[in-house]
Amino acid sequence: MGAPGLAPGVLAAFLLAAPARAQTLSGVSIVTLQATKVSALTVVIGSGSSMNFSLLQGAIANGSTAAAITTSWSVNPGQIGTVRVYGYFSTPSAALAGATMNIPSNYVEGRVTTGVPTTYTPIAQTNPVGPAGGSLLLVSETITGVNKSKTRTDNLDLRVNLTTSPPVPAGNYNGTLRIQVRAF
Amino acid sequence: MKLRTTVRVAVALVVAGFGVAGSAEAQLLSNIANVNLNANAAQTLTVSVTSGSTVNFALTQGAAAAGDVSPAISTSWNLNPGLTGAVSLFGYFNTPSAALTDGVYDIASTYVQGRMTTGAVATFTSFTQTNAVGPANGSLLLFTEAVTGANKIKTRSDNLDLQIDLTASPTVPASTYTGTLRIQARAL
Repeated sequence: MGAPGLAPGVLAAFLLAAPARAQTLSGVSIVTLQATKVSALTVVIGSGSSMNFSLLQGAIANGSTAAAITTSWSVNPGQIGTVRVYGYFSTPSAALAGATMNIPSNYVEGRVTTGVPTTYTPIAQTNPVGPAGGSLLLVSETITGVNKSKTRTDNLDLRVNLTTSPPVPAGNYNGTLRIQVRAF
Repeated sequence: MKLRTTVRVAVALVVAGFGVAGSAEAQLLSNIANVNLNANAAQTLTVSVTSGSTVNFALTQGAAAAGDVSPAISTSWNLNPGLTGAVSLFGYFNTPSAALTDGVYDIASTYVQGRMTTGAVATFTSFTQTNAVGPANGSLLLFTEAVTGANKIKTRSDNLDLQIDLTASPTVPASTYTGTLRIQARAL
């Protein structure tokens, strides 16, 4: 007694063939993966963030300590060619402010022996960072694939040079040297 | 056709230019780290004898012998008028009883007189005052200048005239007498 209308051989062939053919493949959908690592650029004063000077008219007063500047970056060398560290005073005419007189930035000198000004240089340059006549390029490093992520530490020596200054009245003088890094 | 080609080239150059400019403008700025600077200019007060640091006298009993030169005294200061009210200059002998001596006989400071016409002693006055500087009865105030904002930094020069007046002294033996007059400024 076979199935009506189907020969027994044909039915057997359907039953045997059905498992191998019972699959369906859809089209291919694409999931695009995008990850972005943001460029980073930071600077910290590891030590020497407070410096003292004993001023002496007609002489040079060295800072009591050197400021250790640690600069870290992670940048894309395809977009960034150079990292530069600058020091600047917000108001160059009053780098150090006193009660009756201010000491301008041209009497404050900086040196980074591992950086750009290897000899003492007045903080009186005009750079992309800081006001005109009130900054100093401290470090400049070209970015390649090798150093695209890096941390470096440089010591900044400071001194107040009053050898050619007008008489500075006795008293206390205070100021803030700002350190900022630019990558471009 | 030629115009279209020119336009296409121009557009391509402009696009390329934007692309180049975009790369050049990529820049990052870090945070700002501060270095605090503290400086102190100490008060200063100095005195020097710029000329006439050796004065000779030809002594004559019963008379006043003027020094052959007047020492020029330069006094410089850098003072805070909020802390210091005046600068005074003094001359004194360490041992008033022996302002000058030959090792045997001493001439006392009573017979040594000074005058500073630009200072506090307009006429010759003996070095027998008692002041804040020098021993008792052995000094002379030469000048006093009040310190204000106008003269908190100053250098002044004054001539000190000296004489040895033996008009009323006991007889001074013939000899060579030497001594040292010390000059010191005081700010208070």
